[in-house]
Amino acid sequence: MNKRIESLRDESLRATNRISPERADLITRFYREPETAGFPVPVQRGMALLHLLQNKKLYIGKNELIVGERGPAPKEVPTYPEVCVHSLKDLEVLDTRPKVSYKVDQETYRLYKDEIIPFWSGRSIRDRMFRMLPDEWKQAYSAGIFTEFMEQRAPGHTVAGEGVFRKGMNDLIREIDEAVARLDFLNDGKALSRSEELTGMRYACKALIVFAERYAKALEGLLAEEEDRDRQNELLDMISVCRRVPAQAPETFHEALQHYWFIHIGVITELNPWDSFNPGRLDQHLLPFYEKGLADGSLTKERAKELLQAFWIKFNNHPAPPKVGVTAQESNTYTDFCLINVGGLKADGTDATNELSFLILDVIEEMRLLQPGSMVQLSCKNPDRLIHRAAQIIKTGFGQPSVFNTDAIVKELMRQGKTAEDARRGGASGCVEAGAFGTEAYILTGYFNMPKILELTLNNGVDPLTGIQLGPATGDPGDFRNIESLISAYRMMLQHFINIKISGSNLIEQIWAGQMPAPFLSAITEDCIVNGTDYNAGGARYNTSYIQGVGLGTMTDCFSSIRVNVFETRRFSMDELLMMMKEDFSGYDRELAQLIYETPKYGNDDDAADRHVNDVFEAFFDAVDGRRSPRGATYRVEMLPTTCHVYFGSKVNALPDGRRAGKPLSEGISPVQGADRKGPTAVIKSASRFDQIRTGGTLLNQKFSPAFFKDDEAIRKIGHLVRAYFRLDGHHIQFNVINASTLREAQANPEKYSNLIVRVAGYSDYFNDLTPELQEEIICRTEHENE
Amino acid sequence: MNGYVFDIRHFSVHDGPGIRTAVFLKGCPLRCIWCHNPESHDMLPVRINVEKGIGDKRIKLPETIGKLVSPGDVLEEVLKSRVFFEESGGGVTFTGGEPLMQPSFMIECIRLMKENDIHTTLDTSGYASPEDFGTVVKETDLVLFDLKHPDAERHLEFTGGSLETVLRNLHCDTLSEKPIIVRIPLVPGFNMSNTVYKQMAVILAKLKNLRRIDLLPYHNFSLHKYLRLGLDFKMEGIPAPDNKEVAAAADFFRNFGFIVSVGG
Repeated sequence: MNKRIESLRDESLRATNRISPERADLITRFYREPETAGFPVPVQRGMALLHLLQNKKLYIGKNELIVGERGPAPKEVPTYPEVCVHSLKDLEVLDTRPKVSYKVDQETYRLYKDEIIPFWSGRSIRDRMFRMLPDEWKQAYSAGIFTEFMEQRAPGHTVAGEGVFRKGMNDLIREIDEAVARLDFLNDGKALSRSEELTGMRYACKALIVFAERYAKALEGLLAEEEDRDRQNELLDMISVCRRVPAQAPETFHEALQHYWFIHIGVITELNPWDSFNPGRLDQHLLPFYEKGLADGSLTKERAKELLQAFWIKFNNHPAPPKVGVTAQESNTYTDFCLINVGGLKADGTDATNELSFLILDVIEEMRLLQPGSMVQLSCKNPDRLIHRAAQIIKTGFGQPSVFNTDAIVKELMRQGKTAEDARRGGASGCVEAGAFGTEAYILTGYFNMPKILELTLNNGVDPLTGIQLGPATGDPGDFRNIESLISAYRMMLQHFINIKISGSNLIEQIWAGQMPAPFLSAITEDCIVNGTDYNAGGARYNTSYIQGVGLGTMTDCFSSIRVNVFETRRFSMDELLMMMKEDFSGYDRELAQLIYETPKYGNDDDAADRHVNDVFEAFFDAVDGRRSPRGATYRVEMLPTTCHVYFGSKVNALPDGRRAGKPLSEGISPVQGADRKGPTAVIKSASRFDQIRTGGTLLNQKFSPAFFKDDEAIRKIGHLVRAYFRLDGHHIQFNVINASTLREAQANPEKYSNLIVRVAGYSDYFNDLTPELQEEIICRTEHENE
Repeated sequence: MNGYVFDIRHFSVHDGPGIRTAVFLKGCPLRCIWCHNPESHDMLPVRINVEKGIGDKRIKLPETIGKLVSPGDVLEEVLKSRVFFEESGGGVTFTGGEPLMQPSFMIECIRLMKENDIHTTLDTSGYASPEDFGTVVKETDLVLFDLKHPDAERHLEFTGGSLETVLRNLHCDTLSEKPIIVRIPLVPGFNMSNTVYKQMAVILAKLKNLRRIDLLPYHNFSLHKYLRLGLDFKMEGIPAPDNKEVAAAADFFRNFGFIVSVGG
C-alpha cells in the first residue's frame, strides 16, 4: 500500500473507540420540538434523518479520498436512544470494561443524565417492548432459552443490491413521486399510510443529497487553504464527485464507491440496523465502472486499488454500536458484520468471477483489517483459481476470507420462493445468512438454545438452575423407554418455547413496523417504494424472519449418549445419569471419561452419533419453518451462534454428553470442541448429514495449523476439501490458521499479540478482545495437525 | 480373507496424490530403530491402557490396538471419503506396518477398491518375498517404496532386514511397470551423509518409472507411543535433523536430476 493508505490505515487502527453523544443530542432536540409530534411517524423518521445529516459534524481525514463518517471522527460511535437508551451504569460499564470498551467523556455522562435519559426513559422502543412482552416470554428470556435481536438494534440484516449502484437519490425521488401519484384512495384502504411512508422516504432521500452537498462545501473550504498542487486536484475531483453522488447515479469508479459510502452512512445513521449495511457483491457492482474507467483512460488498476483500500478503511472506522445486557454477552465485538462478497454467479447463472474479484482479494490480503469482513462465493462454475487465491489469503491467518457455497445459497433462496435471478444476485451477509441482496428483508430475530430445551425435558419442565417450572411437564425422564420417547417429549418442549419466541417476535415486529420505520433503508430496498410500505413493515419484495438454532453438536452428542449409554449398553440408568449431571460429574471421573471418550460423537462420520443430527435438525425445522409473521414474512431456521453458544452455555447445567455446567455449547454446526478426532473430512461428512438447503445458513469452523499450508499442493488440498463439502450441499466453511501454542502465548502475553486476528464465528476478531472463556474455546477447537 | 488393521485415517495428505485414506496394516518383519509406528510391529491386537484427560486429571481407559477386519469392512470405511477422492484425485493408501505381511488380504482389498474405482497406493518397505511382492504390486496403481540404507550391513543392523531382499524387489519386472515414489527416511546417525546419498542415487538411477523422491525427516513425536506400549525407545536423545541438513540432502538428490519433495 502507498503512504497515504498506510497513514489512513494507521490512523484507523490507532483511533480509540468512543461513545459520541452527538446523534443522541440531535435526535433528542428534534423530538423535543413541539411540531415534530404533529407529523405521522414515517414522516418524523424521514425528517429526523434530514435533521441529523444537516447538523452533524463533518469529518475529512488528511488526504482522504472517500469521505463520510457516522460519528464526528473515526471510531466515535453514536447512540440511538429512540431505540435503546443507555443508563449511566451502561455507559460506565462500556467506559471501563477491559474488553470491547467504548470511552465515555464527562460531557456525555452529563448530557445523558440531564437530557437523554430523562427524555427517552419509557419512550424508547426497548422500554415499550419490555412493557408489553408477556411474563412467560420474559421468564424464558431470562432463563437463557432465547435471545432477542430487536430489543436494542433495529431490523436490518440486509445488503445493497445492484439497484443501489444504478440509481441516484433523484431517481428514487422520481419513483416516490410516481408512487404517490398512483395512490388510489378510492380502493386502497391503506393509501394514507402509504402516502405517509412515501413522504418519509422522500425526506430521507433529500437528506442524503443535503449531506453530500455539505461535504462538497467543506471540501471547497479545504481547497481554499490547500497549497499542495496534487492534493488541490484531488480535492477538485472529490468536490465534483460529492456534487454528483448520491443525487445522481454514479458514472465513475470513484463515484460508485463514494455513492455507496454516503448511502452506507445514511442507513447506519437513520437507525442502528443489525449487521450494519453492506455493499454485497462488490466485484459485480463495480465492474462496469472499472471497465469503463480503464477503457477511457480515466482509471488505472493502481488507482482502483487505492480507492478500494481507502474504502476498506472507512468500514474499519465504524465499530458496532455498543450493545448492553444479554445482547452484549451474546455478541460482544467491535465488528459490525459487513461481509463483502466476491465471486459467485451472475443473474443469468454463469460464472461471475472477473478481474475485480482478484483485485479485491489483493486488497483484502494487503489491508488485513477487522472490518469489512470478506468472503468468497464459490459455485461449481467458478474457476479453481478463485478458491486457490482465497486459500492463499486464508493461509496468512487472519480468518478472512470465509468460503460460501453459491450453489447451496441459490437453492436455499429458491426453496424459500425467490426467483432464480434474484437468488443468484444474492449471497451471504452478517455471519453466514443467505439473502437476496437488494430485494429481501431477512431479519434475524434471535438465537435459540436447543440444549436448554433438552435440559428442561430431562427435568420434566423444571429449570434446574432456578427450580422454576418453566415449561410443560413432558414426562418423568425415568419413564422414557427408548430414545424415541425422549425425542418426542423434547419436541413438545421445543414447540412450546418456539411458540413463545414467535409470539414475542411478532409483537416486537409490529412495534418496529408502527413506531420505528426506516424510510431510507426502505427507499433503497426493492419494492418498498412500489408497495408504499416500510422495510420494517414488509415492504420489501421478500420477507423472512430467522430463528438461529444453537448447540447442534452438543444436542447430537446428548442424544447419542442417552441412546447408547442408557438404552443400548445400559451402562447407566437414566436416574444414574441425571444424578451424575446434578453433581456436575464431580466424583464421577471414570464415568465422565466414558461419556467423553467411549460414546459416539458427532463430527467423526460415525452413524452411531450422526443419525441424531437429523433428529435435532428436523425437530427445530418443524417447529419453526413456514410460520408466518404479521408483516407477511415467513419464519425460517439458521444454524449459527456468533458467540451466543458461550452465553447459552452459561445458562445450562451439566449435560448427558459429559459437558460440564456453564461451559460453552458447541458452536454453529461444528462438533463439540475437541470431540472430532478423525480430521476435517469426517467433520465435513457429519456436518452434511442434515439438509442444509432447508436452512438460511449454517456455520462450520475448521482450525488448521499454519504447517498444513506449507506449500502450494497443500493449499490446493484445502480447495479440494471445500469443493467436496460444497458438493455435499455445505453452506459455509471458515478456517482458523493458527496453532494452539501461539494462542496460549498470546493469552499469556497479550501485549505482544495485539494484532492477532482469529476467526470467531462468521467473523474475525482481535484475540485480545475476546473474553477468557472464548479465548479458551478457540484454543480447544480441534486443531487439525497433520503428521 | 480377513486381515489385521490398526488404524484407518482419513484426510491423509502426504501418502500419495490428492486427499487419501490411509489403511494401516498391523504386523511388520522389520524393526527399524526410528520406527514411528511401533504399535504396528506385532500382527495380533494388543490391549493397553490409555490416559485420557478430564480437566486436570488423567483417567486410564482400556483400548485395543488392532482389529481383524474383512476387505468389505475396509471398503466401507474407505468409501466414507469417496467424495474427497473424487474432488482431489486421491484414493486409498495401504501402509503399516508392512502391508505385504498379509498378501492375500492385500490382494482382496486392492481388487475390491479397483471394483469401486478407487485409486490404490501401496506403501511398502519392500521387505517381502518376491512372489508376494509381485502379485500385490501387479494390482496396485502406485507404489511408495522405502529405501533406508544402501549398505547391507548397516541396513541389517538398524532395520533387522536384508538389503538384498529389498533391492531385488525394487528392481523386479513387475515394479518396473508401475509408477514409483521412493521414500527415504532421514535418520541422524544412520543415513545422513553425502556418501550414503550418492550410493542411493546410483541405485535409484536405474529405475525407469521413478516419479519422485520423498525425503522423510525423522521426528520424535512417537516417543509417547513407545512409553504407552512399554517398549524401549532406542532413539532417546537423538534430535530431529535440522532444516538445513534436510535441505542439503534435498539439493544433493536434485543435483542428480531427481524430483524431490520433503515430507511427502
